[in-house]
Amino acid sequence: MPTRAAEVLATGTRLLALVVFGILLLLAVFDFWWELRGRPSLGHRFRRWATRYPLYSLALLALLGALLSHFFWQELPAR
Amino acid sequence: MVSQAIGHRASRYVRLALLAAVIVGLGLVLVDALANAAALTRRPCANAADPLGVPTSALFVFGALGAFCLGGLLSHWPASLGQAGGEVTPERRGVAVAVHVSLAVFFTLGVVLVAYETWAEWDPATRWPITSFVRCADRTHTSTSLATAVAVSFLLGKWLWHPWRPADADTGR
Repeated sequence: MPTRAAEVLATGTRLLALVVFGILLLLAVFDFWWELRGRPSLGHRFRRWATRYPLYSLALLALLGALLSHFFWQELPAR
Repeated sequence: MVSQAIGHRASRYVRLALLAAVIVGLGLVLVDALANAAALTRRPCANAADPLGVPTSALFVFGALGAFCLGGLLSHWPASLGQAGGEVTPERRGVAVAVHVSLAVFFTLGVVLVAYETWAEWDPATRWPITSFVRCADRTHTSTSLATAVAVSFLLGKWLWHPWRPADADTGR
């Protein structure tokens, strides 16, 4: 594998892991703490927002589903 | 009444245990990616790699969907037992503002990442889309990537599952 591509791969993966997993981890820790203390969880806050803006939440879920399929789904080979 | 109380307590312990497992797992993946990124480049993985083959890719997609549903069901478990999720302590104003700011940052970051993905997909020969990093991790660390996809989907299902009834939005879980 060319060195340049290896560098891009290592840097990009590090950045992506730091940003995405770092934020998710922070939110998960908050959620755990609130759950432990019997306070309204993060899901509770999101659900209130989703009830108030159902079209926004539908768009968000559609985007997540599209990303899931885009990242992992194996396209059928061309015939 | 007694069985409902036991159900609420059981659902709370299950949620706490799964959340703790997800936090530990994501933490390990984060540390490993930061400290040991060289492991990703030991095996060849070029830009614009294809996703994994059919049985494994289906495992990723359906595993993530299953985890999303599990997270959603667990977050609604007390409500599905026919009772609100217990007493919810009122929030202090400072905490509420901090939460709203954090969520705004989270959504802004999502927009930035999707915008970058779109820009990179425009010409994937010269730029690496996020998809390439994800698929590369799938190929080089398949089981870890599957566990991570399941953990992230569980969190999103727990947070984003739409309430079945508007009243469920106030159950506090």
